[in-house]
Amino acid sequence: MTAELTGPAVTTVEIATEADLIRVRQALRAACERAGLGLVDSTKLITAGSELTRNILTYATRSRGLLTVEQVHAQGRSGVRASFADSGPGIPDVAAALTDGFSTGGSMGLGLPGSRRLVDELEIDTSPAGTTVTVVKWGR
Amino acid sequence: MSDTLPILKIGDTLMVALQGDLDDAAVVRIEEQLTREVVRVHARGVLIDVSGLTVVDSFIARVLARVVAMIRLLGAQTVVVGISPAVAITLVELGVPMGHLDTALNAEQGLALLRRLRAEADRGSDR
Amino acid sequence: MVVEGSGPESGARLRDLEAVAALVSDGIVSLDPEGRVVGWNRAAASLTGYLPEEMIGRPVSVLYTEEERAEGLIEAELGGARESGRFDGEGWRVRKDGSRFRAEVTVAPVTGAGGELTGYVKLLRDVTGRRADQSMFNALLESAPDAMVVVSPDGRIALVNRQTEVMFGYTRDELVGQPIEVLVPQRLRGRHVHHRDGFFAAPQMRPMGMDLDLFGVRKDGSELPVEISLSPLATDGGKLVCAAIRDVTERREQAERLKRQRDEIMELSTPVIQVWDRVLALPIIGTLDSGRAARLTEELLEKISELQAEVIILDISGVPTVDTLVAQHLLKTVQAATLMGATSILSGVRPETAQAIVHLGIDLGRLRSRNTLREALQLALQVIRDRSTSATAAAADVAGAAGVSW
Repeated sequence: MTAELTGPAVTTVEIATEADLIRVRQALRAACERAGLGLVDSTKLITAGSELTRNILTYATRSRGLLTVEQVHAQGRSGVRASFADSGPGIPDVAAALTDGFSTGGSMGLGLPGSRRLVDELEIDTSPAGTTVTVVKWGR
Repeated sequence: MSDTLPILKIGDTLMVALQGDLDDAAVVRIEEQLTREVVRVHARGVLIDVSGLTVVDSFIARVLARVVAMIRLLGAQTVVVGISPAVAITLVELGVPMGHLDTALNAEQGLALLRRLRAEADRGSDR
Repeated sequence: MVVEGSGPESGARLRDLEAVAALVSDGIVSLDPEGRVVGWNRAAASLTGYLPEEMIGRPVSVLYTEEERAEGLIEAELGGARESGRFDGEGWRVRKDGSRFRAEVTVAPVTGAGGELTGYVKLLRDVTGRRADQSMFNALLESAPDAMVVVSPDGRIALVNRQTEVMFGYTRDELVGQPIEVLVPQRLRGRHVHHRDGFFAAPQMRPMGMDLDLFGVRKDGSELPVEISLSPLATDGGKLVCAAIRDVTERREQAERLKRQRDEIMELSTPVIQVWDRVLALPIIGTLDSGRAARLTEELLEKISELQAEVIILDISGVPTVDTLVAQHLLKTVQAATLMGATSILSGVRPETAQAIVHLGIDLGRLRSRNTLREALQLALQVIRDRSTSATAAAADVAGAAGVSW
């Protein structure tokens, strides 16, 4: 297998106010188009990104975060990886946060479990210094 | 998205088409404008066309459900039309409870459904 | 080796020597200056099958093959020893029974007090086994279709074969002495060191990373998918591990091709059929896994949108068992179709399927169900008729409305 050496094409979007939601969706949509994802897969990823952005706006102290979007390749497939980082208080119980109906922010708590169902991979890296949720959606 | 939402009135039915990438403020404005308009024109039915929305996340879905509940309290029925396959699958996977939403494929079928819903409501059926 | 052969103490010395000679496991043969046997130890006897009494006084040349005798090898050995004080060689020797053995030979001259030659001492060692092991091992290693890499406990490469050079693009010299991790992609190295230590702690023959996709990295930085089996090697030099590395690029590509073909066949085998104007049927046949269920749902929803279908019939008579997973997929499909505004009808539900769905506690909501596809179609047409009536009435409402205003 030869390693594909296409440019990394990394996009970042700051997440500070609700207006940034639109910019998050646009950045994800552009990445989905570049990676050749279908309409259904794109919609799922953009929606998951929307939910994760709302999580940051709801939970993170000082309400600040950063989205990093990049294209990924493996075994002949292209995909999009999106990392949502915040400097919020962290998630004390990751397993619980991934359970439907769990919420400390007053919403329905669909953010993490819902997002996980919409993507192919979801990874949470959390500490009291902040949380990074990384999702990957692969093309078919 | 302009500040005022174009709301079309046909008989006693209101029709509104949501389009593009909606920010939360725009979504909340729709709620206010639609409920005000239902009361102002004594509408009996509302058709919300969402075929122009590329993304419906849990927030937008919740606001839609809220609008429908408010409109029902104001004496009218609401039908949401034009949910695309991608949005439908996404909402189901996301797990947003949408069971109480009345939906139709297009405006024509939406109007037909509104008529049936009104007939049921007027008969006093407890559906 | 130089042995003094005369003088007043030489007799005692020679007896000591004989006692030593009787103990050692190498064959020790003493010769006179002409090459006749004057001493023959126990090991020489067991090595050749000739007893001392049979050999004393005979020329040592009986041990040589005819060809070697003809070539004057004995003279060459003795001459070499005489000139340089020692001769080392290796060759085939013949036992009393005619069988041959590979011998490692060392010959040293024995001189008298005045420096004159009094004879020779010759050491014989059977290296037949060692030689065969070595050459067979080398041949096996070199001809192996896999890259074979022998690793020492400190994780460094001790030995590689030709195929390793071909597979990874390094020469032997570049690899030997390097940590084995040079062949592991950067991103996996840390983990690899950990696993490697674990293996040396409890070595046993096994495949590496069972069910994992393993990768190696070539000198040029490109990666290749590999399969690796590990075997512990107990050697004189200590505990080693032999890793057999196989390039599975082709096999993985083939597996993926097969999977794609299977997917395509699966998709063909479950088409969405338009059974009536605005009525679609989806006969589900076979087992539903998540990937296939997702594709079926997408295909169905696309068709609903494309054909503006108002009723869909999900026929599950071809599904062998309805478990939680299948039921949940069905439920999701129905929910998504409902969101789009289509009515779903389930058909082909067998008694055991009905029991399963209810026992599983799955709420299919207001989903209507019919026993057969025919009954389901009748219901679908009824739904369409009802909808048409209200659609016509609705159209009349609109036409009769006072007007359109913004």
